[in-house]
Amino acid sequence: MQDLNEIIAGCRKMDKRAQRCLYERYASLFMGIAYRYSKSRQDAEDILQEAFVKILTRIDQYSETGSFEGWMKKILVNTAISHYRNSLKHDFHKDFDSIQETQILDGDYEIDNEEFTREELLRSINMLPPGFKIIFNLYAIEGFKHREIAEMLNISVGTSKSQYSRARALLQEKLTELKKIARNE
Amino acid sequence: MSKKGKIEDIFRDEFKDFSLEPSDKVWDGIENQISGMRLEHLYQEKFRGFKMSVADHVWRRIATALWFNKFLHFSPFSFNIYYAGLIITTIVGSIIFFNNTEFKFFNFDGGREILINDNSQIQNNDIPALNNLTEDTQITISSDNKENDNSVSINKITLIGENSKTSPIHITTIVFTKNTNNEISEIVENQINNNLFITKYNANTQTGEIQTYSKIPHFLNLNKPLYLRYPELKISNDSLLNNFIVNYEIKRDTIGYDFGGVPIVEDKSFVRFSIFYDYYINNKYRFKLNNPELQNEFKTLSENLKDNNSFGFGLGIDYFYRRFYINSGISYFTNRQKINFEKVETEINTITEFQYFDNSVWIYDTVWFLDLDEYLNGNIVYIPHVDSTNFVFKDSISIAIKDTVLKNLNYSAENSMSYIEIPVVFGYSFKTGKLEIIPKAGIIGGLLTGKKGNFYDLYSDEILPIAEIPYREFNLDYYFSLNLNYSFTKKFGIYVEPYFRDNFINSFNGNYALDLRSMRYGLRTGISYKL
Repeated sequence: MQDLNEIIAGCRKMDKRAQRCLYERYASLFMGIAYRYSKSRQDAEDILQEAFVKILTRIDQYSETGSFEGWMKKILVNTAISHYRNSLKHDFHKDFDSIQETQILDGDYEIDNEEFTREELLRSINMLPPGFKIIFNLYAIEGFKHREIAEMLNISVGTSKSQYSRARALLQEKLTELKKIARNE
Repeated sequence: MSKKGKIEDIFRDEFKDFSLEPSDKVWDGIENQISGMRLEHLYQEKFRGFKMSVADHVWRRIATALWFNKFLHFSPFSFNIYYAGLIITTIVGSIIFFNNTEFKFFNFDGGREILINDNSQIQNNDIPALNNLTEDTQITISSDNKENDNSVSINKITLIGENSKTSPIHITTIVFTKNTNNEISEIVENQINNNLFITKYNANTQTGEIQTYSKIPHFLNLNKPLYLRYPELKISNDSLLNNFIVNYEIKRDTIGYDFGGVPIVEDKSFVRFSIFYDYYINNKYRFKLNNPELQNEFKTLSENLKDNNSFGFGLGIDYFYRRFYINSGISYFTNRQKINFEKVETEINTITEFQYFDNSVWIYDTVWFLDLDEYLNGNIVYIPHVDSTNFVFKDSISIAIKDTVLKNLNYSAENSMSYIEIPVVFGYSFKTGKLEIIPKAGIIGGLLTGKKGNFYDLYSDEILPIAEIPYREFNLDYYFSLNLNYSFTKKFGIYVEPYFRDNFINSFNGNYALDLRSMRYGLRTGISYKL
């Protein structure tokens, strides 16, 4: 079963073989995304599992007008966000609002694309506080607009923007540190 | 090829297709979760068009939500199957414990303890008439049989209170046998009700020996009056009915009467109220940092946070059964903290200085000379001669200099958090005269009802209003103490209670950088009143 439409149709009928095919096709890509939003590999696997259950049980809600992969990614990202929310319980907003003020550096920070390895970049993302990490992932990597992020996280557009600036500044700091360490070595 | 790019572009390029292989257990987990739905889907397909009543549907939804989603999962803050199990076990265990089949009897006369199985005693009583008696039977004294040659049986039922259904009923059967000399040879008295006791004695002569046993009242029926029959020594035909039966009410602390009719009292079970004040002698905090990036701030906090005369007061209610003890009540506890520290901060000042230096300037001037040769020829011609002079003078410029100063800044914050607390504490009482010593252990649950003041926030490294610090809304401590109670009178006493309590749980919500728990030693003083 190679054709995606065939797989989707099978999944709608709760066909086990089609569900397995869909999982195998996207599991590692989605695991990569989930990993960026989580604290550990275990957390990422929990998010992946929960997201796939949602995808497979709500596949009837997919309207076939947009990209299927995009629809699935949105579920995955929302699952990661709600996972993060649950881990914070009632202090979700507080977390976004109370993250320490960080010096915001103006201007574009340009880096050489061969200067850092993927692992180093990943490590630098993972060093961000969880709230920053989510906003950075959503904006910089997933490409959501601040308005969309504000809706998803139930925060104001201004908060999204300011948190993103802080996340970016922190990330710059981390990368600069990494660069210094690399030079000293 | 290396190229420069914006931070977003680099990250986006790197992670656009980033993939990571999940472990096999992910699919197993998905499979577990959706296999039930697959079956449901199959049924839905098969039963498409099948109608289900709204009530069934709603009930199914509610049951699923309540039972499976919440009830089966343990949460300390909602009623779930674990709490239900605990309650059922406690109730059933208590019933079994307090309703054991053996009743305990004391022989007041000889001080011996005799265990009698209630059922066997009842069965051994050869008094079939008892079984036929009902609660509605009026008092009847069957004195008609008194004249029989060999035996007389008197049945007596005493109804206490207007409503016989809710009042204790005493059924007394007195069977006595006369010997050939028309003397009473044996009298057996049995009293049967919910609180069974049996008084039994043999009298070969009118002054025969008497043995009296009375049951220690049942724990669950302590609030109900229990009657003990005390046989008098004078036994004769004429005085039998008048003098034989004497009722004494057994109240809470009375476990029986001696032969003189004096109640035998023991603090068997009672309730005691108290008011108390808690003073915390020592409060040690236990700190744990959840965010390793905040080591410096953590050090500042952990070295400088102190207790600021925390205190509490409240009402206690104690229930004693024999020597066992359970305590609860309600109290108000104010946890007060203070923090003072100095921080060295670098202050950057810009100062303006004048820098002096020598400057020079050339001043040019032109001198006109009369050309003598031309003058001799009759012409007046002036020849210009340009001369210059170098003037040296002092000049100055203003220079801005950035200077840094290390400044010691004082930070201080005080706060107080109020909790309403409910304890559940167990103990065991050792009593010598008027002094009672009770070692206690239990837990105290607290609900945060108010907070005011400031606190040092690790994230911002600043003193912030406490409302911005994510304190947990509840608290749970374990508690150990030694209660020393001195009774001035039968009712009133005073006590002191040195204690130790420690937080089970973190004072902050889990996502905060700090895990803070307090371990307190204190002294509780109070006044007790025994009901």
